[in-house]
Amino acid sequence: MPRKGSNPAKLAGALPEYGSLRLIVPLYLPSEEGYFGQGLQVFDHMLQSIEETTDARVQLTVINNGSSEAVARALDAHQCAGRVDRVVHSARNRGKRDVVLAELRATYEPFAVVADADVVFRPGWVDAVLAGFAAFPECGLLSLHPAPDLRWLASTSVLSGAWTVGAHLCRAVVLDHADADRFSLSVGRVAPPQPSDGQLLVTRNGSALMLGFSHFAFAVRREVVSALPSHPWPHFQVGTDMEQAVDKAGWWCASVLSALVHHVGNTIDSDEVSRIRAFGTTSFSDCPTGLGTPRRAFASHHLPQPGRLLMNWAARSAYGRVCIADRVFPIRRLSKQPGSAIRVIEE
Amino acid sequence: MARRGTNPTKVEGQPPPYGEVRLILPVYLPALEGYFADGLRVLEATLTSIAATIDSRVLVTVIDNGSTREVAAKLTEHLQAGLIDRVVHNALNRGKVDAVLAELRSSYEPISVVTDSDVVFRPGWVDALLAALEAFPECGMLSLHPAPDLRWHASSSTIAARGTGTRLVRAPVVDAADLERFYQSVGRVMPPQHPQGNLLVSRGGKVLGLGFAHFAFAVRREVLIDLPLGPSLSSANGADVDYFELPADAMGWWCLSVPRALVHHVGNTLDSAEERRIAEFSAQVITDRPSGDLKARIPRGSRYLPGLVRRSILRAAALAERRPILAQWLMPERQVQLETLSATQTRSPIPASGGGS
Repeated sequence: MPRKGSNPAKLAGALPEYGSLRLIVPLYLPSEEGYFGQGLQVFDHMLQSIEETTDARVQLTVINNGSSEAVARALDAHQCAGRVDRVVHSARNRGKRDVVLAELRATYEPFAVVADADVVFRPGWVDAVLAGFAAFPECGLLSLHPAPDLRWLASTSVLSGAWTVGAHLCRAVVLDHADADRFSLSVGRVAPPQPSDGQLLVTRNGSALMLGFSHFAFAVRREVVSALPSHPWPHFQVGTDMEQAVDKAGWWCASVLSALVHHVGNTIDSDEVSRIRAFGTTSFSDCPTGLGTPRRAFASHHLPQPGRLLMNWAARSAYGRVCIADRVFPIRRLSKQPGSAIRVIEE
Repeated sequence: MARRGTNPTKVEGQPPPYGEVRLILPVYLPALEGYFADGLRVLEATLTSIAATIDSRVLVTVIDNGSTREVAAKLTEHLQAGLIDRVVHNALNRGKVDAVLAELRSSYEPISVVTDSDVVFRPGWVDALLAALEAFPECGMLSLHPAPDLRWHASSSTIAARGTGTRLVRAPVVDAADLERFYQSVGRVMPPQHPQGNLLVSRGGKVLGLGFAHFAFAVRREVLIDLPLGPSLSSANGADVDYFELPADAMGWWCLSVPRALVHHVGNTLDSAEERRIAEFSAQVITDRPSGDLKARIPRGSRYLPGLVRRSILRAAALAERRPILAQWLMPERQVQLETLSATQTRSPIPASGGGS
């Protein structure tokens, strides 16, 4: 008789609970030479940073997106050592966008963070992310690095819905130039000049988020997942369809005021190691007030597409005209609360 | 400067295309002793059967749900050999329901097939599956093995849609050998079958059976949005029904089964007698051919039925089956000839009894 005995797993009862946050890292290192030569070394720095900055609330998934066998072996070893909860090996490179969206849909935690395999984290980042979502239940996607230059991308729901939920749009100089310079250096570019009147913010009850969303390290609220695109993306180059779809569904896409992550890039030398160490010495002490109840502002949820385009165009036009901008996005004398990535104080 | 050069993949080529069917195989072998002693050999038999019966339309995902390192190493071998497209290693056992639902949602293919890691496939199963789903666009979940004894389970949407272009009929189409083989594999005796044959839904000469079992089943991608989002956190027997067929039925999708077994359930042991059964089963070929139109459709009427009405429909149909006059009117006997029979297959009669199951 082919079945003998009872499967012990079916008698085991309840399974282990999930945490509060799933950290998802897509990894593509097809070789150990050229552009990817130091990839595994950079990834090791990332893992060390994760170990130092997370607790039991965070579980780690690494997606091996068609990397070399050496990388696959290294990941399996990390899983055996208990550093990684879930490893996904894809035989072929499916592109970052497809594997990340797939993994987000496969996640049961209320929040997920997606980070490139070449970033390191600042101590306190988990609490800062959760505090950001708790302070802004309308926020669906939260970039872990300020992205003020992308303020008009996927921001229609914030622009249209902020006023209906007691939030305010304003301008204030809060960007830490060290954050901007560090990121620009990591991608080999010069930091673009920032406007003298500061960055565009959405504020409420002493908390603020910055308009602008970038996706090298971002957090996602689980309720947003149903709004994510379900079709495959035909390019390796990541587009902006994810944040556009989330914005269209009425969720806010924004970023924290201070960098919670540092982008390392594909090479690492002694200078970079010093930068990583310096970055890890400053920490945040935001305290999330529970997980918050997600909600979407009615106005941004039900705005038709022509209305969205018009709203975005009108906001950009207003921003460029001093007298209108002063009314729509008033300049406020705000500064970041020390040790916080989302709290501001009036000067 | 920390970034040097340009990532080659961002300037060259396109990602490889997805297939039509994603085959998802959860594996849980925490030890290779006791209940799981033959587990690795059974898994190897399953993977061999998959390799022999699929083509480029099917991509395989295996979920290693906290298994031993030997199992992980075996899966890595098959990943490198190209049989498996994707392997997921969970450090902890997440249970079949949560692991499978996660992987279903991760898939980009229009059809996913979920199968236990102790089944073997009949040659031609992919075409037969696609042909069945084409013929019944309302069918959201399709069991790859007949399950006539579960005909009153998760079938309210199918019964409620009777008369809207489809008919409920009775015909002795399920091969008793398929059922006997299954019941033997789980160590049970086959219950007596209904004397007038199996309950079927019929349209345009095609039939599918009422009754759904989830040791091997197919799911349309459109159904996933109707399945529960939260984790089940359970691996107990029966945890699956609240996460698969019941919510699918409640949202108007039909949960049916193929009239002829496309899979054979092996069980947790593999002896020479079982190897012979596998060889016999694998020698029989299904020759259905799909036309290529896989669009899904939910009948509006069955989507919005409240739970109480659904339960009443099932109860009334089960009662009517026992009253010959009502049964003849609601689900008349018909002569149904399955279009495709394998060249080597021999039909064996279903033992009749008066009671049904």
